[in-house]
Amino acid sequence: MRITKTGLAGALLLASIIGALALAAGHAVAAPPATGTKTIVGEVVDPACWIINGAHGETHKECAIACAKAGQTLAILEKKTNRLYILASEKPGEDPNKGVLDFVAQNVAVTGKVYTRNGAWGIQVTSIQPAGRDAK
Amino acid sequence: MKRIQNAGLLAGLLLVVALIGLHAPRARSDEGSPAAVKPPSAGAAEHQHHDMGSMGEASKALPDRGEYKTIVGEVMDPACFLEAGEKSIGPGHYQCAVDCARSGQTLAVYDRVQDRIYFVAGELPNQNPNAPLLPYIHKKVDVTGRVFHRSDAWGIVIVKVVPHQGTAQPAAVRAK
Repeated sequence: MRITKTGLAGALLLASIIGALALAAGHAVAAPPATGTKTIVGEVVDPACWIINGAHGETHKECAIACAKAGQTLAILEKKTNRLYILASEKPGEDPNKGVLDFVAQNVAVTGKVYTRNGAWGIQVTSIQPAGRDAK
Repeated sequence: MKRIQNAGLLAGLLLVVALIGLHAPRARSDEGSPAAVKPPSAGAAEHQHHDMGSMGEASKALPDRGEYKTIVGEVMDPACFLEAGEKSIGPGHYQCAVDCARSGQTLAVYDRVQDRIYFVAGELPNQNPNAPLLPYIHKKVDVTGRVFHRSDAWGIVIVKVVPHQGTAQPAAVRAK
């Protein structure tokens, strides 16, 4: 099979264009993170148990409560994004788990100030209420 | 005419290869590997309370034992850090971090080189996860343990904490 120089050059050009498009797709500029006051819907989890082995839910509730009472800050695992929001107190000396402990393993709607830095997320909770099991 | 057909055939072949490459899974670039070390053999770093029986809805998944490594970073209060950034690790913020830690805010380790926050995970349900770090708040330390990554968050189950070489020697810490 004979391949002409023109044909080869054309094929390489086509492949280069496709490769460049693929590269551009991989390095697309991400939208800036949405911070400020917002409401997120997700499960109250012990972030230690979640990060280590993905443990959450009703069957892990007692362990999460024990961890929280021992000093583990709880977190909200947002349903829509699977993002973990570590709870943060507004003032030093305040328990960040206060008002949230009663909702461990439940799906909740949490409103508060959201912060993000270095890929991690946090929320200062101002209100929390139960959400439907399938709410997102 | 045949030349054009050959060129078209080759172009089509390259197109298929490029499309396969486009859909191939990307390697994770954020899996940094700071100072990987050999894990202890006697199970000292086992996270016993996270055994398969207590994993709740994740119980069908295979256990992830994490990566045993040593990270170098500063012990800090992640709540203040997320809000205020690196200035929250300064000396003027020390007492705030202590108060936060004592009131239930789990501490974290900030690795400046990787620009990454490692949340600290307790080894057992009834142990305070801050215990090994309290003497080192705002100090640079070498933390050895099992590192995990999920939902874009990093966590470490601490086995050992020592002051980083060149920093002031803090009070001795009780090994977990």
